[in-house]
Amino acid sequence: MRTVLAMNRWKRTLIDMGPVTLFYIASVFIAGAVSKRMDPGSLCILVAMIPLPSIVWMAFAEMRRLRRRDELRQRVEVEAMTIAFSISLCVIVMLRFLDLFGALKTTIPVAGLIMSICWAGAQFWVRLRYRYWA
Amino acid sequence: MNNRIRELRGNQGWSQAELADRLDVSRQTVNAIETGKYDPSLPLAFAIARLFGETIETLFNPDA
Repeated sequence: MRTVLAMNRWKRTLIDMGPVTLFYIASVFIAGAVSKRMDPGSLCILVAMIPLPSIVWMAFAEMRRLRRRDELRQRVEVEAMTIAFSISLCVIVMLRFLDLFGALKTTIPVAGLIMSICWAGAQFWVRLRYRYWA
Repeated sequence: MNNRIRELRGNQGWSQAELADRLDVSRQTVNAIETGKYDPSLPLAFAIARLFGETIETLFNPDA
């Protein structure tokens, strides 16, 4: 019974997030491929915006998934996101200043990595607080 | 906040998973409520009280 429920959950996740993830990957690939073939200019801005609709769709899909979750899970996710956002913002702003002062060289992918690490850490901490996996 | 959910569930002979199914929440939520780590929303508190044939006041003790 529990295996069936777990399978249904994975199936639901695949239905909810599969198409939007594929759309995101395709749009990033297209934007990357087009940008390599064009000269710098205002059209670059339009090309850079190609993945935007898929990101907006992804945000809506994630919100829809969150609303369908059980109330404690909703709280865990919202608390983890709030903590992760606050901490990652502090770290990224600090790194940006270090970059401006020439003390450290950082790139945009580092920000994504920091956000991911903060989110994973916050998830762990919040789940520990509510004993969510027990 | 203390509550009597574990005791009442035991009296019915239900597991946490069975109670979770009846309340349409996850087993983790039932566990967190029973251990006092999480206070349920008002609709869930009413659903729990209705399921056990009790009132919210007799189920939950905010002073403890």
